[in-house]
Amino acid sequence: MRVCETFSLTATALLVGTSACQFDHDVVAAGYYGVTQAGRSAMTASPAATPAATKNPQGPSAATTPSSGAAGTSTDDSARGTAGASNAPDVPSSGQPMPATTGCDLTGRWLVTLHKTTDGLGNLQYAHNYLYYEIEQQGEILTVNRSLHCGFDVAGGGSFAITVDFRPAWPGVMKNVTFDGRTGTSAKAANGCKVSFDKQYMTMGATLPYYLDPATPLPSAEEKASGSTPGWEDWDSDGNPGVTGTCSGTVTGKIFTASREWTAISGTASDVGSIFKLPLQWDQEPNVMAFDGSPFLGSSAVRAADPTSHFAQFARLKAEQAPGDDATICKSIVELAPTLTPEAAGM
Amino acid sequence: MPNLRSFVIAIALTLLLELELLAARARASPLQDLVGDTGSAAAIQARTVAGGSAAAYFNPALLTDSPASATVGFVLVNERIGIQLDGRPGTQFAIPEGIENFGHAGGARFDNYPIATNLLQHGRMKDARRDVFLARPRQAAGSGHDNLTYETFGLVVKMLDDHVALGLHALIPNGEFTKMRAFFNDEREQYFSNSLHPELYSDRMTALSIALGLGVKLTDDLSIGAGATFALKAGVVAGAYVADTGDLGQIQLDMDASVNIGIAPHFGVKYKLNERLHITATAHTPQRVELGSSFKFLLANGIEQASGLNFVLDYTPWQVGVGAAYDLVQEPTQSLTLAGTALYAAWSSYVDRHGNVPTAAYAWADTITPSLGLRYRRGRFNTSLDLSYAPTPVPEQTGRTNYVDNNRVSGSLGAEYNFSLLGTAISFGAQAQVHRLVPRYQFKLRTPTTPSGEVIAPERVKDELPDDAQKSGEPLASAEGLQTNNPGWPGFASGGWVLGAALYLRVAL
Repeated sequence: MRVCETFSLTATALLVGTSACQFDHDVVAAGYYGVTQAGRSAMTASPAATPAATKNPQGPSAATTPSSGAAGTSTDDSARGTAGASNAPDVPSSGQPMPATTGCDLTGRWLVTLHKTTDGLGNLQYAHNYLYYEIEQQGEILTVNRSLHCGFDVAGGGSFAITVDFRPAWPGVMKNVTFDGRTGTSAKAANGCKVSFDKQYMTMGATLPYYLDPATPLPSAEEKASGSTPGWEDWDSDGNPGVTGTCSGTVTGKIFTASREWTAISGTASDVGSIFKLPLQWDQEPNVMAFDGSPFLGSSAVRAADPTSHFAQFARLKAEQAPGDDATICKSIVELAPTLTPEAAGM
Repeated sequence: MPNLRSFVIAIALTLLLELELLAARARASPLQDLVGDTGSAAAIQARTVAGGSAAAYFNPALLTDSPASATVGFVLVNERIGIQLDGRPGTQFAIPEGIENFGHAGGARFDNYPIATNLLQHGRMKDARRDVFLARPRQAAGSGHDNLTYETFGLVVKMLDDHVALGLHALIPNGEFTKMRAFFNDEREQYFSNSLHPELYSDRMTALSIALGLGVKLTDDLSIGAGATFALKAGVVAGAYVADTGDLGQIQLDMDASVNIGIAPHFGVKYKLNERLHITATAHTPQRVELGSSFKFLLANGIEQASGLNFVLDYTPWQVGVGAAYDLVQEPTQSLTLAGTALYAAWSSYVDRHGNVPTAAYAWADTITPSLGLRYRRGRFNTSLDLSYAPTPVPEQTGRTNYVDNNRVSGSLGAEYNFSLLGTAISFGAQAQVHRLVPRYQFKLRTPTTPSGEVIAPERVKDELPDDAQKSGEPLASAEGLQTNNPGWPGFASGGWVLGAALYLRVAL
């Protein structure tokens, strides 16, 4: 809309102005200034990539839905949560497993380090997840029979490097997050082995499996889980919402998150005998519910655009590496990661 | 009265020393150019007609025709300049939230990042995640609506049997004394006032103006003069230690400043062709105030980065004037003089407050400002009436820039009463001025965009969200077409008034 639709060109009007345009003060005509982005729409998965409602967060073989209100505060391993996707190849209707592919069998114990790069205001940050997988493969189909999420951290690069330490939350994450039942394939290809792990969701610091469903908005700082009401949970027992990250470097403070992310791993490795690397697809809803410290901590980083900066590195574990109970295994996994998967554990 | 003259000369020399000190704050004279001589009946014709001490700035040659005197006065200026923005036609032109992490296809960062339009207009309340963001609504922080007052002080001293005249003229703002405010004339102003401002008014109306002039009467018919205004050239280097980039309130600052004084000379000549007619010519060199500011940031991790900018304020270009005054009536008891002046100003060399020159596509034009006036003297009264028309040097702002200016029609009416008190000639005068900024509307032309995000028309309104924008490598459909926060888009109008009034008292020395 124009503020002055017409202008008289008479000399009188030019000198004294028109009644509609006296110009002795400033005026802004009505207009549109954009809309606040509603909801949490950071995840833009296509329908094919959206975790199917028929997937069981406890494992892809079950057929229950993480329905609204169905989940309470999860405290036992049965509720440990990730949600799988539906793009795994089906087991043949005969029910008979296909024969293992020679040289591409991933059966065994693995250290898996995920390397993810985020971009916040132009500064790159490198996030790592340290995982333990026990894989069984039949034919081309592989299944994660046992998994542990042993740790994760964020390291910054560049002039404004920021490091985020989540260590106090690691035991809680190990206890609550699981990839058990995750499926995939590994098959011989012309230049090695074509390996894929199905897309799977993971949530930290919030009620599982309720918040695994990407259609469910993640909780705010005011939405604490209580009884059968889902919400954020204090996984590191520090009295603050969700999972606490302690930031250091050029920005200091704490962030309190209840995040959700998905990962899918797919690519070709020339040799899967000991150590190999595969491209990683992922995205996240960081959901920083609150912060204590610099206002910059309220800013969100997004996945960096360079696809080569996201990958997973697998290292086959020997029998003497990472033995013991869950806590012992995880301690070893975190210690071994820089040595066995140096590229993924670095920046 | 040789003793008195010696006394006055001593005062003048003292004032010169004071001037050396004041010069650190002395500035160019855009205000002076607008209001003319507010201490005599010369008014807007001060380049052509002798009056008082203001000849030290307008035409030093006329100091030889001005009476030895001291002048004090008061000037009131009322700025009523309005800028009216068109409404934004749709949300598809808005900058979306989250843009700070968008990038080009391939991941390269944009050359600059705007603020989400909605956030800019409405602000944000503090919540658990984010700090409060104060809204910067469009045109909510405009300028050009001030009441300003000034003191005038002038001195004209004659020497060597009136063949040499020394003049000093000062126009000193009251209140905030003087303001210097730099604003961007394009979409970058969104970060600050998110408003448009009248380019040649606003803070330029508070410029402190001090001029010194010397006139010499070479013959009975020919006088020449030279003078200068004093301009500040300052540099500030601020070293900053940033322990926490997220808490700039704890920044540690040092300063290394230097101030130099620049002189902008001007010249004048007056030649009497006959008893009724004289002609004048003047030349004023460019005037400006330069403030260089630079910052050096040292981070706790040893990284050091620097940035800086040279601000240019109150820029006034080369001005060359010619004028003539003819006595239509010339009698002992009364006279009627017709005076006219044409002033050429080389605005094509304009440098804005951020030191930028308008782009070639929207280059400013040189202007010629004609003025015509009458001076009528009868008995103890002198009166003056002037009219002038100043075309704007600023072309239609259909592109990225928003230089706001208008054609201006000015009128001035003055009266002066002369009397004698205790043997001293005294003049008391008043002036009223009206400057009409003729309303002007301008709209922005369409900005061509390409799917690749390539800028093919940088002079047009900038597409601040390039069409190839991606978030985490995923294309954004909403990036297609123009998205901008340019406060002048899609169009704006401007106009208004500048009203002035002056009182003065002049005492003969």
